[in-house]
Amino acid sequence: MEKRDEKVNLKNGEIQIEASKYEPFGDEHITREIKLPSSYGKDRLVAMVRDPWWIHAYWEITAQKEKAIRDEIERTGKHFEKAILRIYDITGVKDFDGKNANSFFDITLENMARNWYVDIGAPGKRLCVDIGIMTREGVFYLLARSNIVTTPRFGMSDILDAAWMLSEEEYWWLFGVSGGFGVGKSSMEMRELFQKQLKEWVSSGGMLFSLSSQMLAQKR
Amino acid sequence: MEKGYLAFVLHAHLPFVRHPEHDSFLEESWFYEGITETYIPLIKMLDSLIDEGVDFGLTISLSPTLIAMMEDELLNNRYRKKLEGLLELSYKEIERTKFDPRLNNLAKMYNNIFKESLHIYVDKYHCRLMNAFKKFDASGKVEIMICAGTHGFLPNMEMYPQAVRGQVKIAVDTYRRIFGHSPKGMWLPECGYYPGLDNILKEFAVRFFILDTHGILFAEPRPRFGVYNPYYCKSGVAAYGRDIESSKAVWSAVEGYPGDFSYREFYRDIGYDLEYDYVKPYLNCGTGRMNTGIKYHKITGRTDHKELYDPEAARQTAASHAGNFMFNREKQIEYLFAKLGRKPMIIAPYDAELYGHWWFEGIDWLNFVIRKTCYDQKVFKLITPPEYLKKYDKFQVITPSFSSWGWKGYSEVWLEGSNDWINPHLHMLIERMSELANRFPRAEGDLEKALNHLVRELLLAQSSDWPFMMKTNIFTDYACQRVKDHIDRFNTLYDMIKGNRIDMNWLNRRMQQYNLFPEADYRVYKTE
Repeated sequence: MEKRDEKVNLKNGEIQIEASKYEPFGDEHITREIKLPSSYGKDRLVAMVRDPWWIHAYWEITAQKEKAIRDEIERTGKHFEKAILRIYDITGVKDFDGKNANSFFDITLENMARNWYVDIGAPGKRLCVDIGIMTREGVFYLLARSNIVTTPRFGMSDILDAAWMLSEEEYWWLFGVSGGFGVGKSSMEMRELFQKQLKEWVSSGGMLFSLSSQMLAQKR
Repeated sequence: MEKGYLAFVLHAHLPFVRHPEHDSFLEESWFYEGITETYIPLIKMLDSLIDEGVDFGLTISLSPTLIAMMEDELLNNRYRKKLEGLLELSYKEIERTKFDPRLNNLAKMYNNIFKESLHIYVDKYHCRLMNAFKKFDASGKVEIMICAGTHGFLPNMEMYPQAVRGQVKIAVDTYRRIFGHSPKGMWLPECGYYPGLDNILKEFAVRFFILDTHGILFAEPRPRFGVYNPYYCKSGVAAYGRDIESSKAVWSAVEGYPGDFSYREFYRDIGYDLEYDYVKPYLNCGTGRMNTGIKYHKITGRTDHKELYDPEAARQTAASHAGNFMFNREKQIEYLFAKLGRKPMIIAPYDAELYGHWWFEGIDWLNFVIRKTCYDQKVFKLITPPEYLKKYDKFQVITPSFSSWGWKGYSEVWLEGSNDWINPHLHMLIERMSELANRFPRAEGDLEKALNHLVRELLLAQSSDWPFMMKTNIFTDYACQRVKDHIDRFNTLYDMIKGNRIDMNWLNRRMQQYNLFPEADYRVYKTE
């Protein structure tokens, strides 16, 4: 690491970009200051699944778009109140059009927020997100709509496969064993253990199944 | 007749790190350490198993970036020098420790390891480790899987199927170039899966992948055999779920074998312990200290006081842990066989670098497990995932659940406060890539070259290693710089292409620096 610090200092002086075959970008490569674009001039809102309960959304709204909407609000005699994210539950909804969601809730955005982690509260949902402006008069003006995301279910599916049926007891046994709670327990014990484990997993934010990334962290 | 099967899957991956512009570069050591401590010992083990005709099956996943590094002349030359340096250091160590017989024996042990590694690396495989893996592929005992392109975390690209296609296609093409046939299995980076991903695997004729346990358990409809059987997705691609018991035995920091007090201590290395001027020529980091790989102590206990390592005692522990592992699998498989109504299939996936690098005795352990399983018991056999599909006519069809094997089981490691800033850029790069692919469906010459290089920059920016390092705060500066560098170069080249003023000098230099993926093909990003 020190080596690269040295290079930074060198950079303050002068950098000689060596032209030899294996020195294509010289010292500039890894130490140069890179300023990434703060925006790409496109109106967009992207939703991503983080886990069964949370989604992430980020957005970029161009100044032109915002101005157009603000102008329209003014033209119709309404008043800007706040920017919001509107999260629609569209589980089971076909051809979502902004009006046919099962339900929705709003999040008030603080100034300058460019992304948000949204607590959905329940797993297994199909969701869409709008960003827009809410007027004092209670009218919502859309700035951008996201892609549709589906959060995973958390737990055993309720859907059974007629060709591959087991009794409820047997399923619990199987899940308990697969879940690593040892062998030789009754299915009722397994059921309790499994549900307890799932709850702990949720509340502690810890992990039931995944041990690897910690090891990876040590590895590096 | 056996009652079930066990499939070890070792996933080997490192991000593409190659810095010709520096004489030595700290992060390149990941690759050098991986070769000395994991890949060569693994190759040595597989060679002996195959030569002796041991009946076994083992699955290895190789990432395209790791393959690219293994095939790279510059890195191979550097590694060879590095290994020769280590050998020289070990001779000095034999001399330095000559009045301390125990330490002296350890110095000799390393001397032997480096001599043998050099022999395997240079004489046997001519500085191309892929020669070994090609041989294993042809042996019929080892199933070589490929891993998606640059180890991009695919659920974070779900909304851009063309990006997932890009990761999958470059992987399949790399594999074909090296092995001369298509891969059967694809390792999903971090086991990251979302429903529908298998459709893209199907497009590229990939036939199986591996999920974390809950990816199968939470599948729809309910899986009839838990994780002890493969399933088909509707696409026809087979999905296998990780077994927790066999994972824990090795992975767990608390219960796992690698924590045994007689095993070698990872954190005591002469790169830190000895006088700086003495070890400096053998380090790879300019003025700092780092590991050399020569470590003389054992874990000893939960104490800072570390005693000298005893290789023979450690080897016996590894043998006994192997016996324990085998015994537990026998019991597990007998129990499951009696209740399941089918021969259970246990999938045991691990990061390859855990073996040898992190857990020094890990390869010995694996070697013992394989040999004991072959000769000392009859309850189960070692096979590869595709072999099991021949055992039965019918498998249940399910849709696995979104999942990963990362902390908390989903996307959080690669999507959280420290690293979420990369997504707006990475996604925009995908859109730009598709914009140009749509606009130039039949590019030729310099334009085609430029478009294909855009693919490289995009893929390299997408490695899951970078957000992982940001999240874990390890090599964060390097990770941030790499992501920014690739995004910036991508955008520069994108502007050049759009402005019809490609600087071929610039492009050629950049292509020399990032010289991987000769088959990069921008057309896969077409969306129209």
